[in-house]
Amino acid sequence: MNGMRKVALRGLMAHKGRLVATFLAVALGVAFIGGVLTLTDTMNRTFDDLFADVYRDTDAVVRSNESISGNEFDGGADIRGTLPASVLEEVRNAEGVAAADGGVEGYAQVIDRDGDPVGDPAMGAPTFGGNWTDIDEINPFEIDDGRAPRAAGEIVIDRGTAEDTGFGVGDEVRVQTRTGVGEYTVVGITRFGTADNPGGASYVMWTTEEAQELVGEPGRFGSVAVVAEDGVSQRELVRNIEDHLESAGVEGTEVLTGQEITEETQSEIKESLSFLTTFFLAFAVIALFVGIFVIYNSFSIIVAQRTREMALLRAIGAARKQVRRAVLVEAVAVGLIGSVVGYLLGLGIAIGLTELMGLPEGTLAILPPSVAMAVLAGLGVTLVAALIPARRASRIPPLAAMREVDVDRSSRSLGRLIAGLVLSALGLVLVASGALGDEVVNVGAGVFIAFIGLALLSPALAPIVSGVLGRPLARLRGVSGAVAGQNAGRNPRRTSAAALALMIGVGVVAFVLVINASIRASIDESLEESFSGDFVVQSGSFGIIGLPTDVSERIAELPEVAVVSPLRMSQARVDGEDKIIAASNAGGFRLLDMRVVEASPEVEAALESPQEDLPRGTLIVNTDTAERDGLAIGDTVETHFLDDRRPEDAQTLTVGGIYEGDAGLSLGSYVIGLGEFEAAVPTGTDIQTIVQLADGVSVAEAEPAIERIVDPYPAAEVQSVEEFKDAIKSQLDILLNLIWGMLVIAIVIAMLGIANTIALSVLERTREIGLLRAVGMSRRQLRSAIRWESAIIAVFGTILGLAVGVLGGWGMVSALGEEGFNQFQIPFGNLLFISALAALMGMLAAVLPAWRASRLDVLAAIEST
Amino acid sequence: MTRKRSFRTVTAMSSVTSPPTVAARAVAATKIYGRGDTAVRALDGVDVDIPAGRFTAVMGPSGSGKSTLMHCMAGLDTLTSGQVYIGDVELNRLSEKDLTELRRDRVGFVFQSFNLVPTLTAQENIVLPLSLAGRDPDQEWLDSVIHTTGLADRLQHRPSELSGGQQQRVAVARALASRPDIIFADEPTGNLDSRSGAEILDFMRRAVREMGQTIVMVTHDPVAASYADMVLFLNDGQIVDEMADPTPDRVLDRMKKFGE
Repeated sequence: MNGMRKVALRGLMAHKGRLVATFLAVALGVAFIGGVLTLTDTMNRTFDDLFADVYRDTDAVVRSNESISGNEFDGGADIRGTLPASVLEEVRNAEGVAAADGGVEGYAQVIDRDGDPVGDPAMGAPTFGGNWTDIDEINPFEIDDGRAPRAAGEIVIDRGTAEDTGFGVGDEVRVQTRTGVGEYTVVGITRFGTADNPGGASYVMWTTEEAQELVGEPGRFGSVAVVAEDGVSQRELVRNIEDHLESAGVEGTEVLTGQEITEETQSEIKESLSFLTTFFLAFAVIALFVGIFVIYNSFSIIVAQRTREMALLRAIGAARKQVRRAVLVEAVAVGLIGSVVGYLLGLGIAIGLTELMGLPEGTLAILPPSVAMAVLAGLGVTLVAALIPARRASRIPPLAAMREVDVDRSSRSLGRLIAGLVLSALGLVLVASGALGDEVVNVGAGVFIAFIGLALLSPALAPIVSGVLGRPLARLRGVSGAVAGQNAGRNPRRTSAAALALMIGVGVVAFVLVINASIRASIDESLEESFSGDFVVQSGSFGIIGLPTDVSERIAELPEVAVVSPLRMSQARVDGEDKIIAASNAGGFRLLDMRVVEASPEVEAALESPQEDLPRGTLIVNTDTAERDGLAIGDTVETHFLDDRRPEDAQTLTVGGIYEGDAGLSLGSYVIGLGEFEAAVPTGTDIQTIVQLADGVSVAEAEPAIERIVDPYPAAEVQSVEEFKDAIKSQLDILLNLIWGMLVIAIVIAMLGIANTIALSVLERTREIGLLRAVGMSRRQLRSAIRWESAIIAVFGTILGLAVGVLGGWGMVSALGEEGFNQFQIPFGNLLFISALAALMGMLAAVLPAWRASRLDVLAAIEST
Repeated sequence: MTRKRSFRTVTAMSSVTSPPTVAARAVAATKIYGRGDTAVRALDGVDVDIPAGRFTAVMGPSGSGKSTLMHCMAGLDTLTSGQVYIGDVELNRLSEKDLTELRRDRVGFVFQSFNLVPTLTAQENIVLPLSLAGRDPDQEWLDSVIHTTGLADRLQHRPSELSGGQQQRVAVARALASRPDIIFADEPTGNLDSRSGAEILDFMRRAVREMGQTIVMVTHDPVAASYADMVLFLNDGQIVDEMADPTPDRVLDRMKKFGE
């Protein structure tokens, strides 16, 4: 065994060059995994520290015991009820309480000197407004400059915002809140421990009264933070407060220790970040998966080229197992080195990403489990990829030492062909059945099976496709083209493994592109068909910030305007389940083309005039909901908002209408009138307002008047129908850009594989190249032949990828037809671009091997063995 | 000799650039491998004219420099000093690109083994130099070459489907296809059994006698050499002898002297 290990490691050293691609594939894959894991660790630690700081001296927190989850709304965050100010008084009276104060927190955004809002809560760190408390223990901020706010109209802002905007103590600053835009005097600048602000979030703080008015609700607090007297433990304190509140008859509260609230907040943050890390990890896993093919191919080719050496070892008495192990030892060595180097690269990626995401600076969190996971993943992938080549090496008969080495023997295995055909067909059928039966799971499984099927078929397809692509090439490029086509097809396994690496990346991207194009087409189509407004007033940042309700009221008063339909939304409990309820007026149904198919007489009457509100006590549901919950006109439904202001009995609504919403544009399952909404949630704001102009008024005439009303709200935007469409579609752009990023990673790794395959093939064909050169092939012709061979492999992989990706995209779009995908569209332009890009990258991949081949000494090449 | 010349005239070689009598020439050709103490003089001032339209064999014991001479004359290797000419073109002065074109257009090659591109059919291999040049083959000439090889029914086969002898015949046909000024054959029968070897040698002789081609063949086999019109003997990098109208026995006798 020791001898064999020597053989393995000597082999490794002798063929270092051949393993460069393997090494790079492992390193790149591990770099991404390591980078993402380190980033996650770093983010988690940063936020853990942050909240440990925030709650360091808080011994207990009292808050409403009512929360509603928002699994499909507002980023999935839960929202929680508020407490009346009286709770604070009671808490202060509880035994063991040294100090307590109420906290208010909500949306607020500073407007800079150019009139632009600072920060973008939809894309980056949130922008908060709150109250300043003078109790140092529960106030994580401290005054860095100036003083705390003492009177109405005074604010303190965080150091980060101050530096971004240049505002300082004494400046008059405009701030947008739920109630509108106001002007306030900066009296102080705050710091957050040693940081400028908490995790990049901006903070404006008022006196408690003013904060309640602007970002909270008068007379109410979001929570109450408590400091214990010396010698009172957190547990004791919580018990005391609970007892006291109970005896005082205060209901609807819950009390947590400082420890508990810290842990809860930390885990919530972790969860909200986990989406991001999962996404990045998916990239990394794809990168490694692509790497498997690259590594597999390198080892296969190396084994093939060393057939004689292996046979000789066998002839002089090496056991199969020993030969197999020799190959695996090589794999371990390469995998280990690649993984370690990759992990180090990953640290660089992590640093880049923390900066890109604007995370507070600090040292990276390097945790042993993440290091181990990254390195083991790289090592594991390398070993798995090398298993089959190692087995193949061990099967080389000793006699092969005496024989001329033949080329690829086993590409046309009938079993493999049949399995490939069967699986491809099965996958196709599954996708089709999923598409027609609206079963997304079937589509996913089908795509996966079709992928495996195609992977099995690809060695059989490689010569065919090479032939098809080679023929026009032969006409265009003469012998170089013909030779390229022949060579691409002569080692079907090798070609197909190189192509498969590319297939994965292209497949994923094609899949996403098809879905993206289909969504866009669906949006266009549904807006075209059903949207009959002329303007949409967007409150900004995808509705996180609402506009005060008087904005839409003032627009409605304009003579140019016929119909104004504001839209509000909130998480609410509907018959005990957490749902979203939307509110609008009759015009909303008309402008969004939501046909009310059944209605009570009152609702029918209200729908007659578009500016009419829907009657109080009435709920309108869409047909799906009516069907699912068995609701009919006249049935009653319990609705409950947080801090619902309606009396208990007024929370039971009667179904007054059932509408058929266009899947692309609708108000969702439950719709109530604006009056009903306001009665329940007085602090509600308009997320969006749809405006239809009076007859004969042009868009150009009306726009200035509307703009004038919306102008004071810098985050808000008046959009024409075209702009509205673009705005909806632009939400897809972020996803799309990430996907292009993924394409680049996948293509780079796949290209490494192709470059490697070509380089090793060239090595193997040294004599043949010598011959071609001897009989008159010029260097240029030779380079061209090799580049085209590479391009053919790349195009082959791209075709496979496009096939799977478009198939999956079609299946997914069809299966989700009910959810608003009514259009299937293939983005031919983009797909063509990918194909051209792949071909080009294929050629680039071959530049180095081609150059080396063209520099071969003709005579030495011919005489080589 | 005059009979052979007339063949050449009949087949109308393109002979504007190459004088009809000498197809290739080496002048004081010297090739030194390595330097200092380990330097080896593979060629030591060789002067030789290869007559056009004749079948010339080059013989010598191994290490005599016969392969080196051929490689240098064919433009596959460069001399340390001296000159080689194909026709009146001096190879030393040519760039890599011009050398490649010269090999493609004016020289044919037959190697001992691995003569054919395995991915191309026999037909494609035969016309390979022409395809590389982007030229259409002279169909009449090509037909006559193929006819002479006796491979008309095997043209669509890949090299792996042909016997060793057939492969070498395809190689000779390829060398002939572009009607080069000169064909170099390096031990073309070295890997063949004697019957296949005889076929190839006969084929090459006919190419010279009936088609007016010029062939230089390096060999160490006296029987093979006997097919040539003339044999040049090399030893220690120098031409030491030549023999016209050789027979196997005479060649063998001459070769034996090298051992002494």
